[in-house]
Amino acid sequence: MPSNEPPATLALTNTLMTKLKPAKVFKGSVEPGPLPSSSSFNASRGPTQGPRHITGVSFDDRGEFVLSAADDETFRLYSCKSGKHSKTLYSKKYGIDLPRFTHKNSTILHASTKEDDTIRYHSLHDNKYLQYFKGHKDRVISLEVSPVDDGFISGSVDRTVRLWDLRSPHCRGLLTLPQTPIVAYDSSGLVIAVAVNHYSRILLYDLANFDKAPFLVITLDDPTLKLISFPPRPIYMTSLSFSSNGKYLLVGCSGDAHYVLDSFEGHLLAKLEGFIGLERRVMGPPVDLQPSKGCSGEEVSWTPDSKYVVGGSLDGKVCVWDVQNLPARPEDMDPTRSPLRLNPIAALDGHPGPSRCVKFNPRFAMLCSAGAELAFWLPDQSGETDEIAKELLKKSGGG
Amino acid sequence: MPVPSLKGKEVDYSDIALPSQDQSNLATLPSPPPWPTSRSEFPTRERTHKILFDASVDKDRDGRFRQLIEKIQQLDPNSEHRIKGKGKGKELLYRYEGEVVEGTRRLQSLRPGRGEFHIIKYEHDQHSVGPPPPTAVLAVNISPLTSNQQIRRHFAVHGRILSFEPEIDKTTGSALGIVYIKFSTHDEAKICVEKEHGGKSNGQGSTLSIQTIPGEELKVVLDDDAKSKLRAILRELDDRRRKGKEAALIKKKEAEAGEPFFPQHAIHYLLILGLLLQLSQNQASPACSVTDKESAFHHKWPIKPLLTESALPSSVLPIPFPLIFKIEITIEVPLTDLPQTWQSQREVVDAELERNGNEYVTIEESGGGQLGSHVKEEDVRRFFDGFKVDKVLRDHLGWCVTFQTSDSARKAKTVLNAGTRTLAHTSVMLSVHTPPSSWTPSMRAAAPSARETSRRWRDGDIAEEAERLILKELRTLLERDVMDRVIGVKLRQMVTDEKERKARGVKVDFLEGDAASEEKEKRGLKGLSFKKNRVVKPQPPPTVEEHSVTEVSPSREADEDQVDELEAVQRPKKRQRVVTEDVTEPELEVSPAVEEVEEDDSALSLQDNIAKRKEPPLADSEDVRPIKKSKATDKKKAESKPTAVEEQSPTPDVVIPGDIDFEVPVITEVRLSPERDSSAFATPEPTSSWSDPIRDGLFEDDEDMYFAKLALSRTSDGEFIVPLPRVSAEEESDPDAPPPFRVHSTGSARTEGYYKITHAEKTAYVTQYTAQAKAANKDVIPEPAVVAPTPTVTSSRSNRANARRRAQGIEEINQMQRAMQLSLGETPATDQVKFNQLQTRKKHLRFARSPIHDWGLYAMERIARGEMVIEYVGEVIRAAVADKREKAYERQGIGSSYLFRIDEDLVVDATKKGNLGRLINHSCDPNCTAKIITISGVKKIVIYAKQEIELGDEITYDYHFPIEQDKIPCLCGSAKCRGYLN
Repeated sequence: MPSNEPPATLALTNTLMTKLKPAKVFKGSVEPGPLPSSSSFNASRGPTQGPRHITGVSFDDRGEFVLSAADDETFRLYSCKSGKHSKTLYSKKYGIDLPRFTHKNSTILHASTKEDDTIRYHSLHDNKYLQYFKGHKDRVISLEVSPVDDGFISGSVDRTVRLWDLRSPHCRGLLTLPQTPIVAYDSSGLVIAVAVNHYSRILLYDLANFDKAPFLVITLDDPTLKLISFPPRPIYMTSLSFSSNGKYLLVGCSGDAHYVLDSFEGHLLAKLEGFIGLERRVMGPPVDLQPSKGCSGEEVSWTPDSKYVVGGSLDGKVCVWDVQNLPARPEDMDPTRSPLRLNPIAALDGHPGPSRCVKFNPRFAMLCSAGAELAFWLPDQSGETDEIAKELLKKSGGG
Repeated sequence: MPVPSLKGKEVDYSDIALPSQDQSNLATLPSPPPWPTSRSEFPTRERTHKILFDASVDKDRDGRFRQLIEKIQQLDPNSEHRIKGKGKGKELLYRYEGEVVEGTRRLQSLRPGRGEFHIIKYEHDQHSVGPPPPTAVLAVNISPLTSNQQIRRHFAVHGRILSFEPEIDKTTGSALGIVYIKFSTHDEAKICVEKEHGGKSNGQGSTLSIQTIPGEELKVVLDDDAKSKLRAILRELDDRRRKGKEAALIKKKEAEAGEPFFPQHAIHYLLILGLLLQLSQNQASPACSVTDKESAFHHKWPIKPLLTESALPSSVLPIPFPLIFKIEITIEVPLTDLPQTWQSQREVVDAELERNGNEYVTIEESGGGQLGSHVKEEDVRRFFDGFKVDKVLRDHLGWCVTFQTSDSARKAKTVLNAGTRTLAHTSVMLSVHTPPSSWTPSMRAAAPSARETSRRWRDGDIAEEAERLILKELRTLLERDVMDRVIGVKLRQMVTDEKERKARGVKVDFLEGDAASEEKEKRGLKGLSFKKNRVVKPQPPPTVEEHSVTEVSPSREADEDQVDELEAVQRPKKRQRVVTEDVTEPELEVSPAVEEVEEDDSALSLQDNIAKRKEPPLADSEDVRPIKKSKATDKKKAESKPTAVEEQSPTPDVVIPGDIDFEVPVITEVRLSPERDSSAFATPEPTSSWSDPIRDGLFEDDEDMYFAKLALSRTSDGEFIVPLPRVSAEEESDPDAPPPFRVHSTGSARTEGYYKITHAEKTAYVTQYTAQAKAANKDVIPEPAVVAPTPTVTSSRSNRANARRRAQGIEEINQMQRAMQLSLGETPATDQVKFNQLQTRKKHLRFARSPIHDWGLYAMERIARGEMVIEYVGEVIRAAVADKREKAYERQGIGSSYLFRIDEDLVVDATKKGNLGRLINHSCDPNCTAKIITISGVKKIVIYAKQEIELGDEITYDYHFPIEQDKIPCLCGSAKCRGYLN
């Protein structure tokens, strides 16, 4: 950068968040798939049903690039700074899911959807695989890179969590669980959280001693669910993420609510509502009796300042929840008491189709949402024209 | 160096399971399934483990893992599951289910949270959402005096200007100092904003070549193509103006409300006033009513002493006159002012004009004189037939005609000044005036008075105020009553009677009555010139109003005091004369008032003069006197019919009440206009007392006299015919009005000589038309219902039919000639007589100066939509020739282009040879279109009406010039104006 002075920054505020507007929409970011011939596809894996979507996005550490992985077995690199598409790469052989930047902006990790369930370490720069991380026996549904080092963890349908290091093809650790785990690192990289769906448990492990018992076991229970149906639909957790300040744990679910927990005590602090869950791929058909992952998993995330949660919705909206004023942790948490139900401060219209991936840039005031299309959102900083006009006239009237 | 040890420990899952048991206590909640304790639930092939050391990844710098591995290998023979790897230095050290507790180094997060985010902006490309980045800028605070060229030049530095739109005030036409400039790229606009914003032109360090509003800095912001900011600014300005107006209105209301701010008992005054007014309306005879009112006053007035003290009408004088009564109310109130009636009349007219809001027309005689009062509203309306007349108003200054549409005034002027119509057989000149704005000087005058009146009311003040009000009202009402009901009707009736009689051939001669003696010399020196002139001119039928008009005019307001004084002084004399009327008869011929009347009405009477002069001049006044007297009695009788008052007595004696105190210096005469003398002069026919000035030696011949009168009429009336001071005051009153267009140092544009009107000035003029057009568009909507184009259509159709017939006739002639030539053995020539059928279909048009450009063509008849207007005639030349000629014309300095392209290779050049069609101006919102039609194989350019064209509309069509670099600014002033011709 030629300019010496630091570029202008801004803090996120409610008004700013409500003024987010799609600045760029990349319409052709997913190649349209072959016409769905229902007979041939019904036997195949679930997520490939329906229209092709972007299944995951990832920002690099400096927020300069965003990587999208789609059902069409491509992964595309976009520059967040210029708002331009910079590269399209193909992984036709293995498929691609859960794209994750490592700490270098030229290398990524991704899970496979085809061939086997190996996690692959890819260099974008020369389009080569640097490492295969073999070990999982079933589809990997959760993959996180340690915020502090080259370690990463993965959760798989084979009911194991594996710890890895980029430098070693060998699994650095293994955690067996009774059900499909969802994993997350905390911001210090010392703690991992593992959500186990069927049991509605979230286990917090000390990373150094994850092979021992978890130091905290959280049972996620939402008393308000029984208001909707009886028996209440169980919560199906699809993503887990710690806020950057480490205080909160966001539990993304495939249903119509996400949850914010206290990461120290495990209390349920807020229930984020006001969107349509991604349990279904398209609007219309009713949900199954048994909750499922659907196309959920990447749709909800924290803003890097831990003030807001941004999430997608099946109807394509991008919701912003203000989580700055969550209640203090009560001493005696009554599990029967309803959690604070938060509605989004803004439900912004973006692109058609579900917004499956919603992430806020770690460094720039920019949000990325993806589904059938990829959109870059920027806060609209041009003021109201009326006010500008008044401003222009005010001073001129003064003289 | 501590060597880590391995201690086996089973993971206790019981504490994980514990919370779920708690959950089961909650009856209403379906508890999630209990944490499985059995190992069968967990994957069985592998155990939870951790690699403590991987030689390929971990750096075992201090060698403690090396030591540990060796130690384990020593201690545990079955250590294969713990230590894997091939060979030394490539081992992996495993730990199962938390065998060892070990501290971990805390690492710095590579993905820290962040509270502040960098702002990014994206360039516009095909993926961008929303409009492209703005390429236009909006500059405000430019001094309105800066010319557009200058501004343009200033901003052109930053890039290519695609469009340049200076904003003008829609109401006043002045530049707003706001310019919308569109550059070709966003970068140019951005640079422009960076460079220009905040620039100061005034004072030191000025970086601008243009002027800003003093004390302000130039503000330049980006604006989008939709001009959203510009619109917002204009909206804001509009709001402000409206608010300003509202505030003014409120102020005005307050000012008005200041008057009724009476305490309780003051209302009585007003009640009585109301009663009086009612009385005055019921009573036909004003004189009688006044006395009645007085008594009513004394009866009902609750504070009688106050009344008498403060002297309301202290003396009300019903004075019966021999011809027509004259009422004089003498009021000892110093603030009575004579022209108040006219003031109020004018206010009414002003209010009406303001309400109408469109330009209005005032009428004056062609000679510059004022229209006589014989003109009635119906006449005026008839005169303006064909225009959408809204209201016909009259005040003491003359007639004002307002129109329903804003442009009608100008059209009417164009059409009617052409002299095709006469108003009551008089040719008149119309002049167009802008409507008064709401903040008229009279209102301004009212504002301070409102402040005055809002002071605390003391009893004395109240009484005074009430008195003042009552008197004012009373005066106006009485006056109007007398005029409307008594004198006006009578006079008109009489006039018509006389006319009829005259028509029947009855010679009616009557003397100028002794009433003439009443006429006073009121004009100081003005009347003196004809002192010796014993002319008592035959009068056209002037009504009383006319006198009221002539008597107080704005021009004389200045020396009003003088008049008052004069009157006060002359009064006794006059009285006396009234008393001694019978005795001192000859005196009346010397009365200078005669001339005054003559002056006033000369303009009107001129027409009749010639005819009248042919009548034998009447003999001495002595001879005529009896006739006249009888006539006067006649008249009086006729007048007294409807009024039925005390005037039965045929004697012309005047009873003057003795209580009139003529010595009071502050006495003001409120003379209600129906005066005896005026009525005396109101005789419509040449009077017998008309002595020939030629015979008297004053003039050599008729012609001399005619011009003398003409000159006199101008001097006496010309100066106040057009209410000029009013107009100028209005202009001043508007605070944000533009500076007056041009101050003519010589006093008039005509004497100014040649001067160039700059483009900037012209644009200022254009706004007037813009405003008009806007108003016109607004008004146009109900129009179709009113105007049925059928008559014109049929006329045009018959016109065409006639043309066809004529063409046929010509064709026959041609055929005949051909036949003759053939018979003579000559080769038949081509048609010798050509007929241009387009010529016959031409409309009645007229050319005149145009606001758009030099000359324009105006419709002198109503043209229906789709009708042919005129053919564009000129030399048909080839395009190459046209190019050459164009250059030649440019060299010769013929600035206007009269070249009209027919097709690829033919151009019609009307520069040297052509018809009126070449004068048609361009408009971006034209009322005509030019069509190229082929008539018997020849292409002709014909202008067709695109819409209904009203009388006096300028004919315009769109030139459709190709876009060029050198822009020709457009002054068409239409709302849709593109700003340039090309």
